[in-house]
Amino acid sequence: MNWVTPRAEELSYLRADPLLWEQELDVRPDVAQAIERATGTRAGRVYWRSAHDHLYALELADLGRGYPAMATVYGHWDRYEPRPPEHEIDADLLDFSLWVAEVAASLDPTDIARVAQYARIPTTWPEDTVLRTPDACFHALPDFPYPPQYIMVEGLRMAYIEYGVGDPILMLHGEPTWGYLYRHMITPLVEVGRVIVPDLIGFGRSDKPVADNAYSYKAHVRWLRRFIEALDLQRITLVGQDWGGLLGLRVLAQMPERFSHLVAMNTGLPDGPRPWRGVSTLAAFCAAPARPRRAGPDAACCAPSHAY
Amino acid sequence: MLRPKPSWLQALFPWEHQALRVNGRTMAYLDEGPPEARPVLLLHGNPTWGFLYRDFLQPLTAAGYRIIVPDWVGAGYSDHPRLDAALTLAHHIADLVALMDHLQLRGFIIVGQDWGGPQGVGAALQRVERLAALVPMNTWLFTGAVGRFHASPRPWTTWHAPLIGQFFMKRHKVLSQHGPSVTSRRGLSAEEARAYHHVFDEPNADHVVLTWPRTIPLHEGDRGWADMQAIERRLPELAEVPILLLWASEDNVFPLSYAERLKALLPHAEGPVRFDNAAHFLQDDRGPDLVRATVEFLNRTVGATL
Repeated sequence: MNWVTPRAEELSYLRADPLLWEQELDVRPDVAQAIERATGTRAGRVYWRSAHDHLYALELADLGRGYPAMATVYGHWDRYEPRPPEHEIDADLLDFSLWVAEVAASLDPTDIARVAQYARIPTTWPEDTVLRTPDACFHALPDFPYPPQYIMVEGLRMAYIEYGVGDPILMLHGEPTWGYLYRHMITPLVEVGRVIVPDLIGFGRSDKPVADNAYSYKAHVRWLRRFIEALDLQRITLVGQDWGGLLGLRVLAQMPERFSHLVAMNTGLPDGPRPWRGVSTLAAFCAAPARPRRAGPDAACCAPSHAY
Repeated sequence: MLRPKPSWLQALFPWEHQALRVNGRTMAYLDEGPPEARPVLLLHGNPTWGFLYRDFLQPLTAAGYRIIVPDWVGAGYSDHPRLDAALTLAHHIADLVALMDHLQLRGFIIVGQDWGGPQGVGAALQRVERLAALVPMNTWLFTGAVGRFHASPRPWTTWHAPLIGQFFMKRHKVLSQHGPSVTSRRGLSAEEARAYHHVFDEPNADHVVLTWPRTIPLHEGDRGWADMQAIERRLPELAEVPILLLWASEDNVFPLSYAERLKALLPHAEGPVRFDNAAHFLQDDRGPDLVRATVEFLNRTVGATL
């Protein structure tokens, strides 16, 4: 378990949601004592950060029995936001259950895993909660001959283009575009390195979860980090525009050892307190009269489908 | 006082519940048939409710008996307290004794399956002078495990381990929502499955589904151990009471070895009468056949008139 000590400031803007509560940990004193040994506490809270980056707390109470007699597990979410997708919580709670089985001599983690499988606990995206744009929509796009490659990130298909050799040049698009944005930059850049252009989750050829709350800033940063880890990119040159910068810069801060150069284009890393001037620019953009559109690919073809 | 019965349930379960306050909680029960006739208490277990006995009501009342079908506190249409102390073996027994006293039952018959066995017999032993006959079905009245199910890690002890049990049973309702339908040999219709689980749909309504398994006394010191030992010790008091053992042969929870142990404790009991193509919820798998055997036994031993 990835035990952490959260700062009071961090906890203050989170909401604690009880997920599992025990009135009778004493029904199996051996398990209760094993939890006490493993956490080093009989009464109080221990925190851990899950594989999905969510913060959880295990709260133990003694009730005068000489070992933890009651326990509650809390999930800590952004204070006023819907909690993360349920399958992420399930996966995290299953990990926690496996940990309980590991520390308790009378339980076997393989039994927990089997029961979870038998009960079909959803720990990946359930059916019909993820959309995928059909391949036909991407057929014969102008100036875009690059074949896609795919990688699975937390059960979602993430598409990317990989071209050339050498140190990676990671090019991140923003809203509301996709890798196509960089089509005129790929070929010239191949002369200096290995160009990697992912489609962010929710864009282009990558999978598109239906639920709004799937698209948190935290999740995008995590997906991007997993993408970089899966391809094991080192000495990265980060090229980021718009959200590509907001996300890429955060990932750079989390794993600076993997990055060597940075090219930031019309982006930033707003940190809250100061009003961001980009907002007024955006307001002006929205107020401007719409320009006539050029003919594009067949729009009807490009509606996302339930192909996942 | 009781939650209203949904309209889709009406065709499957047309009977109307009565309500009684027992030990501070509301208990729902059916009281059908002639009020002056000999009463038969039909007692369900985990994770079901009186719906389990729907095939029993018409034949038993037609045979002239009065039928009482309570939902245990924590289950069915009774209150669902999220409080361990209200859901112990002793508490369940006391709840049923309160119902027996309120209805002034005498010369009654206990029909019990699963937890309906120890809770029903536990209550009957408190009013043993009024007990006329006993029909245990796939249940037990003693401490320790005879079969492998309750001692094996999968699924039983794993499902009910601290915190892990909460994850499986409460967050995912694996037993309350799916128990009867995956166990059924006959195959439940979607409406029948829903009839079983709709009473546990509300968050936290299924606390009894955790407390019942955790009360199974396998080892000395387990919750329920002392109460079950008290029942087992008093079984010789039933030596004059007609007893019929009815047993589903395909029950993983209470296989025939449990019937043999009961037979050893109650040597004068008839049976066990085996019912094939029936699993743990045998009243659902073979209801009409079970009630026929029950009526035949009762008519022969005690009769419907008091």
